Amino acid sequence: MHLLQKHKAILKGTAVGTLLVLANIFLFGAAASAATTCTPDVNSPQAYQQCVTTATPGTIIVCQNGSSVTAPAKCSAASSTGVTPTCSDGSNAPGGDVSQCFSGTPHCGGGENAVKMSFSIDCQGRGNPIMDAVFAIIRFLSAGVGLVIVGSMVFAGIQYSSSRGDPNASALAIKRIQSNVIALLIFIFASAILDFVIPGVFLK
Amino acid sequence: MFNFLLSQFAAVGGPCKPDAGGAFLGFPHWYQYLSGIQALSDPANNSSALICNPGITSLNDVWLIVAAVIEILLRVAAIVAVIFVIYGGVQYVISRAEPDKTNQARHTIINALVGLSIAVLAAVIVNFIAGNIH
Repeated sequence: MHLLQKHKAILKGTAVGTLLVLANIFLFGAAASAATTCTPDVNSPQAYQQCVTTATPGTIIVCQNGSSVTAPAKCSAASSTGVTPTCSDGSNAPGGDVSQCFSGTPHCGGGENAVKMSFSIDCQGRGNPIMDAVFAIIRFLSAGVGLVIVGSMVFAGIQYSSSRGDPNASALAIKRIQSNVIALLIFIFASAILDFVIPGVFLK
Repeated sequence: MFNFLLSQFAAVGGPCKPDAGGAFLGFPHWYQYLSGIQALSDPANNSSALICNPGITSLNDVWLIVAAVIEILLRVAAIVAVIFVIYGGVQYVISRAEPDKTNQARHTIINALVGLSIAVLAAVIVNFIAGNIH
């Protein structure tokens, strides 16, 4: 596959997975923080299908290209009562159970193998579920403060390098560096105060 | 070299490491630090070789992508600095000893080098501070 297409496919799958998780958080609240309860086995279609149908909210299974997992080809809809269950290709369902009508590996729209994509937002699973999710997001953001400021500083360096001795252009870069230092100080003091007020929740 | 950027996160170790081949100008891939998910290289053939695709399994993996982007930016900063030092040198040569122009050329070179040191030092210092308050 072309490199760009591959990247786009991965990004698309990631975005879809993230949206599904967010939808789950709003629909099921705290349940979204539940840990993965099953690991789909791609070599065993039946175990895989069972895992897909019994997956808890928060365990999202999508294909790498963002499409949903397609049931194996021979699966048919549940038959009405009193009729001998058959698979969609006409053969009798093993054990009279249509959910046993599997053939082949579960697959995605483009023919790729299905992958499990469980997405954790790092909830701790204790206390009020909403506050638990809020604290998880605060921890996520505070983990990235340093990285974002480093990125901005490096950009300021590039700005300064390309100022060609023009004082106005280099003043812009200096202003960006000042803003970064102020932002870092605000974060340090804010997190220190919050950690003092509510110990062990924000930073750990 | 920039593994220290990752020290504040949980261990990256996973089932596999994503393929890092074919980098452009030595830049890292954006998925360089993500842990990988194994998959068949040929989906239709169950006995085909396993390949490693980058996987995002946690919200904090976003920062691993940011770290790779910062590494790309640092390399861009170095390239930009080299280009503007050369540009300043050319300015100096064609200034014909006119004080205004030599001054301008000298400032071009100085700014290019100061900008590079800002980028590198800031990355080290801010990462040191931000890494220690966790």
